Amino acid sequence: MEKRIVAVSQINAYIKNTLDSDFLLQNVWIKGEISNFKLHYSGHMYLSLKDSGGVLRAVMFKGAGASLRFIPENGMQVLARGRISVYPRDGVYQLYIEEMEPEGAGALYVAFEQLKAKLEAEGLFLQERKQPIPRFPKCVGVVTSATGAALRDILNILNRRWRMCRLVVYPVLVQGEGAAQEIAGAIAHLNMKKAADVLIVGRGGGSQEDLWAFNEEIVARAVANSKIPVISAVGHETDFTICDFVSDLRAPTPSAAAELAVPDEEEIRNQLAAMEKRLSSQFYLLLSQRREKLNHFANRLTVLRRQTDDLQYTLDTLTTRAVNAISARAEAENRRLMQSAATLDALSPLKVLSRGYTVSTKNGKAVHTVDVLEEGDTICVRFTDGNADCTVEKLERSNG
Amino acid sequence: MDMTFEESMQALEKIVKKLEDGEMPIEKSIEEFEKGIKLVKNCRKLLDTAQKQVTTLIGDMNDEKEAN
Repeated sequence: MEKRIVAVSQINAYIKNTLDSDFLLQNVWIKGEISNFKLHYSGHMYLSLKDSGGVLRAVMFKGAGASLRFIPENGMQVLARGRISVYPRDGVYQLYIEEMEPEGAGALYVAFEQLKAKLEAEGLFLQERKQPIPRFPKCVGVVTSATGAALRDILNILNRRWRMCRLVVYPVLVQGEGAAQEIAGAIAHLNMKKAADVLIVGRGGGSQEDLWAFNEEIVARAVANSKIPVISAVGHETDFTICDFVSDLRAPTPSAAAELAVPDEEEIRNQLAAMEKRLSSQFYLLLSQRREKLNHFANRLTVLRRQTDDLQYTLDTLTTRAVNAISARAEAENRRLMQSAATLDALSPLKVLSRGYTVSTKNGKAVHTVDVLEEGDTICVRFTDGNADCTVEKLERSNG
Repeated sequence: MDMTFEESMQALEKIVKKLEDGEMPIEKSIEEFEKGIKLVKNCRKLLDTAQKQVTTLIGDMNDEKEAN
């Protein structure tokens, strides 16, 4: 038998042709787990699909990959559709993936979780990033569909609650092709023009697919970058979107967003009335407190006055008593003095002399008895009007 | 008084608080009281004369037109 010899490239080409002509292999769904995933800088994705029994090499080119709503990861169970063919240079057959979706959870769910995890890791959901919603916005911007019920609800509530602001409505597509770009563009535009001081971004309820634009990264980034505080209002209370997480405030519905965006006029009027009342009552309270204090001081002054009056009176009384006491005493003393003077006068030796008696002194001493005298002594005899020096001639004692 | 509603409300709240704290000379509290009453009037006037305006922005054309 003659040997048939073919070149490697020939046999590879032959195998490729054989596979490519197999109808089944041209369009097949394959279930497996991703491994060896590699995103090349060219944008092509290289991976393997495997199960417990084997491995299948696969490639997803950039063009097909662009439609992926999630990022493939190793270990992920997926369904991949494509054709099986040969890469002649390597001599391997592989799956050329046209589309791929996560098995079970669904592509949207996975995409949602992935974007959520990514933005959360960037810190875009952090509470401290949230901007406060102004209390009295001067202009409310609304980014939603021009034809949706959401806009009607929002306008109704804004009109009912708060007339003191302008309203800027920026109509956008909220679902379908290009919706996310329009929403993001509207937010950026309103920011650039500083057209409002709070934004309501959202739409009414719908399927997860309908709400999808609000889960897209471009919308999330626009909301996160907005210098104008954003209230997110997508779908119903049970719907959560990425837009809700990055927004400054999540409203359960568009109507609720309108209520969060502006105060209620009636409530503000009540607050005004309450403050007016507090103002007046506080003011009158202050006045009456001052008046009371004044009265209190006036009373104290009166009391003090009365006390000084009393003191004055006591002082007067004491003075009178002192004066009386002193003058009585002086009088008594005076009387005593006069009496003493009279007595003194009566006893005065001069008075005796004036009656003719004399007093004799010897050597300056009064002579009371003849015993102290001797004949020849000189004594001085005092009269009422003068003295006479005398010599004792003779001493004679009288008996008696 | 050329104050926005927000400024008026804030000023008013501040005055009410100040008055309630007391410890203010009587002349000053009369002054503050009068200011507060004026602010209440200003806020009411702003509320009474408020007229809502709705502007629709057509983003692509950078064009603004009034609507209601």
